[in-house]
Amino acid sequence: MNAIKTILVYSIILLAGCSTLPLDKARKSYNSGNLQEAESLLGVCDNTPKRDLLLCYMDKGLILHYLGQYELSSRYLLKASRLMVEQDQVSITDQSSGVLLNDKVTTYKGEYSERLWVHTFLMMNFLLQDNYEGALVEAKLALELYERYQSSLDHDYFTRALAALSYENMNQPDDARIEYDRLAKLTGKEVFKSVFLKSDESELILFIAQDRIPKKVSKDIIVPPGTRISLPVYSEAAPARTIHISQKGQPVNFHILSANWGDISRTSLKNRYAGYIARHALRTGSREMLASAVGGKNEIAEVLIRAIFILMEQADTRSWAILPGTMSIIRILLHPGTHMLTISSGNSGEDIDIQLGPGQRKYRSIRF
Amino acid sequence: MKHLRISLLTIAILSIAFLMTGCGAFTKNLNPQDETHYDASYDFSDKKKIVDMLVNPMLSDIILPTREKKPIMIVYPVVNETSEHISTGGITDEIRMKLLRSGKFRFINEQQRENIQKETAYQSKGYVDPAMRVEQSRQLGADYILSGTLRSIKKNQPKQFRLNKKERIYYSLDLTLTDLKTGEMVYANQAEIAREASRPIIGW
Repeated sequence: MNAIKTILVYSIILLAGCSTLPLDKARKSYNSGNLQEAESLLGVCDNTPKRDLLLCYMDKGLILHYLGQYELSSRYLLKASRLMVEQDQVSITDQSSGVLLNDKVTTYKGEYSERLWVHTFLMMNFLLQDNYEGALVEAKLALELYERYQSSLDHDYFTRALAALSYENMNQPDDARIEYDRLAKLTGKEVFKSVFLKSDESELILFIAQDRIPKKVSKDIIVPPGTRISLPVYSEAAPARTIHISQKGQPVNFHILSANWGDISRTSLKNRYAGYIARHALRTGSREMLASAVGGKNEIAEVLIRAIFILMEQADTRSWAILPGTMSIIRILLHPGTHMLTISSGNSGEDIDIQLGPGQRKYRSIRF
Repeated sequence: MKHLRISLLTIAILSIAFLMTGCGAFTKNLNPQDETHYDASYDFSDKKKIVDMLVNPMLSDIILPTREKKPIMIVYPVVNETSEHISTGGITDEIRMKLLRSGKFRFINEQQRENIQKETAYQSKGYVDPAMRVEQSRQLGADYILSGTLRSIKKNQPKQFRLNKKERIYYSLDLTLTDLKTGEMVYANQAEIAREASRPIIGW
């Protein structure tokens, strides 16, 4: 009877404290279009458990970006970037709790793709603030990740194009060319190349976010007598809608390069499956040993402990859930002067009023 | 049995006390001249070192043709081309300060140009006593531009079975002095720092 009591008390303790309420509430507000509320709900991330701190910084940075507060957004994304470096270590405490309980109780380190996109948003922020040196720093960090996780990230053409652009802005045409050549090789067509603006030219560069990244959900497999295997998977991604740009009702010529971040997330997650499965095997083995040991003394306790293990098994479905599903970079060559452009995608549209000086390049970030 | 319990309790109390000693907050002053590095990346010790490496030869060597008056310089911000967010403004300021203190050069305050314009424009609006107004078109013209670029090359240890992650970073700061009249590069120098650091792959 004592064994049963102990199991019940432990299970209550272990199952408690798994909620990340401010984060969930903020995401709901963001998805319903209330960005200001989402931002204030997150506060300064001081109410977020340490294991979810990275998610809070990433969410806060993204929300502030789409609120147009690029400097503040960078502050949070830089915190996320530093945290990713600090957490790039195998923690014994974390691994032990992951093996004993489930992956959800471990510190969230971010998918490879999410780690890249922290630098992507930082690059966008710096470009939008004409801080080309800052953008180049992020470009270099992003390219390091491309090299490290090539098979997961190579199809993110958007971030690579931003990196090339960052080199271009810092007057480093050779490095820009290398990245544009890589893009041409990966996409099979030459979409972008360095643009040297003449005095009668100017350029508008748009960063367009469409839809939402697919949800990370749990895929469960029950293996008799009492083992549940829970793996995280991404649901299907929606294809991106075509973007139209016009000025005074007339279509405007532009060059576009898009990346489906949903597909990239899926590949990135698949490439981490080996680690997930290894931890699962360890967890299943240790639980089986514990259940058998308890069963030797009390059969009811064994049934109870197996039921608790099934309940405790939860796939780690945490993710940077408010990311866009598709990111596109659009380059439009325009004459210097004032332009009123209409950008539309599906049923959504946005007007941009922009003034461009001779030889000037400006950036805008739009979210549909 | 009783002795065993007492011993276990003592060990537990001592362990907790031992662990708690590392949790107290503390503050101490550091000597800015001392070199302290926690990892391979750029830190405050490097700034001083790198500036000294570049400025000291500039002060000891005769790098400019002799003139009647001290040469006038304008210092442009050091460009950051590394893969770290380094405030290169600190390097620029220290180079300027060291050269200024040497008394061999005169400097134009490029950072204050907008404020100078604002102040002189205000003075000429009629609020300021005409006798005390700053005379316009009396600013100094620079003879030389001092510019620099900070670069880095980072190399990580290749993936293999290991317990530590090693990284090597090489920093270089190039400094160039350009004659404004002729466009000639009259002086160039480079300071380098290379460092290796490692951190354990497994931690608590």
